[in-house]
Amino acid sequence: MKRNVLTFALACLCAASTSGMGGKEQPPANPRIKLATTTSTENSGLLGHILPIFEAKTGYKVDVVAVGTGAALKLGENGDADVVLVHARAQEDAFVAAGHGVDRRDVMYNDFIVLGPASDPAVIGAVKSSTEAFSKIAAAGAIFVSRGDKSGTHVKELDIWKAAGIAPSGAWYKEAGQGMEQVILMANGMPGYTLADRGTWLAVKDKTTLKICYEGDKGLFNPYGIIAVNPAKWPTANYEGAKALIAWITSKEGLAAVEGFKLNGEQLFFTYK
Amino acid sequence: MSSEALFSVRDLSFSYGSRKVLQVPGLDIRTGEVLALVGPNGSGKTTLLKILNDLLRADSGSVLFKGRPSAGNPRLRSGSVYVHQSPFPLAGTVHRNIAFGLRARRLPDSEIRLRTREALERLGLAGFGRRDAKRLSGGETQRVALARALVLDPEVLLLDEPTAQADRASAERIREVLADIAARGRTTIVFSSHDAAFAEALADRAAYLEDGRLVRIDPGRRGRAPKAEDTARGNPE
Amino acid sequence: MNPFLGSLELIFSGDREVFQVAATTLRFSFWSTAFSTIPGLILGIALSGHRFPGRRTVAAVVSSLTALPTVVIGLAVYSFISRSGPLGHLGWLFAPAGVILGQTLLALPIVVSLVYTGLSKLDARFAETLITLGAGRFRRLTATLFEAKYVLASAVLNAFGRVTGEVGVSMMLGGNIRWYTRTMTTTIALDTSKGEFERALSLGILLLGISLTVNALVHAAVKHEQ
Repeated sequence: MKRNVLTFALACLCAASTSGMGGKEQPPANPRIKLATTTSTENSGLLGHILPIFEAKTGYKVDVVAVGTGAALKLGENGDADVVLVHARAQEDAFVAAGHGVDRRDVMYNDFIVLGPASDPAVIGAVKSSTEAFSKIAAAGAIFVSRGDKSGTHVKELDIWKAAGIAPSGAWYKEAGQGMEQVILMANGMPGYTLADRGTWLAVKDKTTLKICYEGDKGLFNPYGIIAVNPAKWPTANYEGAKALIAWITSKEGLAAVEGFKLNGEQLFFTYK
Repeated sequence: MSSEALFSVRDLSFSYGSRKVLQVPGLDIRTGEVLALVGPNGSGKTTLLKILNDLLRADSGSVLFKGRPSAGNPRLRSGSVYVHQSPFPLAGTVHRNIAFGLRARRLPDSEIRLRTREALERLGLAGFGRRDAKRLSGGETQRVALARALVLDPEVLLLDEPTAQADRASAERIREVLADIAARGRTTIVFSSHDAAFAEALADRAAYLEDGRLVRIDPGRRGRAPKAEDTARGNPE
Repeated sequence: MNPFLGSLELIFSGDREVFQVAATTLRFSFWSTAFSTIPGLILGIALSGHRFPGRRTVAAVVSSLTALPTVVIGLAVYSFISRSGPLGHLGWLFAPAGVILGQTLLALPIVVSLVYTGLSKLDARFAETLITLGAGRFRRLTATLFEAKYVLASAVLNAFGRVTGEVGVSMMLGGNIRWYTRTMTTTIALDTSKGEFERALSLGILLLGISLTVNALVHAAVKHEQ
């Protein structure tokens, strides 16, 4: 009996908290879409900029849950999200291959950069590739702060170490297990090097004395993909909503909104022409 | 005064853990009588009173109330009230305390008001109705507790050292009220005291307890003149 | 900037998000406290009112449950209300319902434990007085509630404070979704992770202010009843 009262009270609560949404010509049957994405994507502010446009147009409400890449995909796998937006191509493909997701589309890209102390103790300023930069850091035993959390950034970092033929370990290699901003601030404090996505860097750089020591490598390319959770596996997932979001974000209007998003005057995400 | 046994106690025994605190081979309490339990602290008086009110259950032996076992007996519960040696005032006003039992019986408000006022007057507590029950003197608290019990007009009153906390004036008032109740003959009173003279002056019989054992029962002196020695000592007090 | 001034600025800036986040915090705290108070009071009173073998063990277990880390509670509830869990069909994960459920479970042992210990301190004579005056079970319950109202008020306030200040449950079960399940504490956590320490501190002071105000109001109300 208590459960029914609980459910009823919470239903009223939820109704009260969700009322007042703009009723369009025909509000969608299930207006809430759960989007699982990464903390760096959310913290860049992109979604806060583009999603209101989508919401105003369609009457959907997008609930953004920002966690690590691995967690975001896990949410999709467990049916706790309706759609995922991440930047880890290999894992995205595995996700779809395993039948957890459908309708994968490319959305946008940005890049990773190697940050380091202004003095650049490992002298990577003149290297020609990211693998070379990492090799010099390891050789110098310079402090390197890793995300250590299986995020997209972390996966990219490990790929570079692998390509350089190095298994990073030792006192100089710090595995933080934290978000991107935290890791940048840690690198700032130690001081040391780290691999970061440009978006977070732009948001946080005024709080640090680090500089971009290396950038531009094709290996530092960071593409984003959006995938709907497989409705065959999770019939309760809001597939209609997921489709609507995917359709919009890859439409001319959506892509323009993405390109139009600027952080400190700089464009952060680029779309495929 | 009827001579039927209201309470009938046989082979009663009660222990706290391994320590035996009460042993009563036999005791009958007659309807309408005033029985005193006399003995020093720790002699088992409180234990016996609580057992008679079914606040404690004996380990062995039998306690009969009107011929039926006392344990869980609804007529015993509704027909008797126990008053602690150091009574606990309920949170709230004196009025709330006194009306509490009446409200539990779901009596109409008008009757509650009437009976409460009567009880207050009887115990010399007129005007105390709105006072905070937790902020009274020892004697006032004891009188409130007695009023709280009397207002229910119980068949049986079980009083643990009814004047122990009281100043002289309160004690005197309490003694008067008890003597008055006893005289009317409708209520059976069992009270405990460490003061033999006080007990005998008020009671029909006095049961003496030593180390939890009932050692003897003497006739009391209720309604009769006090002994010569008592007057010389300036009792009762 | 002085964080105290910062928190004043947050309040008076009319920043919609600050208000929304504060309102959400209060809403979640209110419901979880309410849902834990009634069963908590009843269980606490029942526990103190009945002697049974193993009672001390039960009391000790309940007391240690109050020390459960919020992330553990969050994790346990998460496994139940995730779509892939037994209660997944309710759809409570990443929604207010999930947070309130988790916070209620967080608050419940606190209420039970504090009520139990508070009532145990109540004189044995109190219960005996109620019984001898003829109070039935229900009346004994209400009389106990009235007699111990300071104990009960402080138990409820304690629970309220706990759920208002926690992050683990809100974060795991609510998902920190903007405008929806984002609370003051999860916002502070987020701001801190982004390096916005000043804003986090200001928000923290605001949270403290709200908490103290609620405490003061309840204390005044209970006293006034006298």
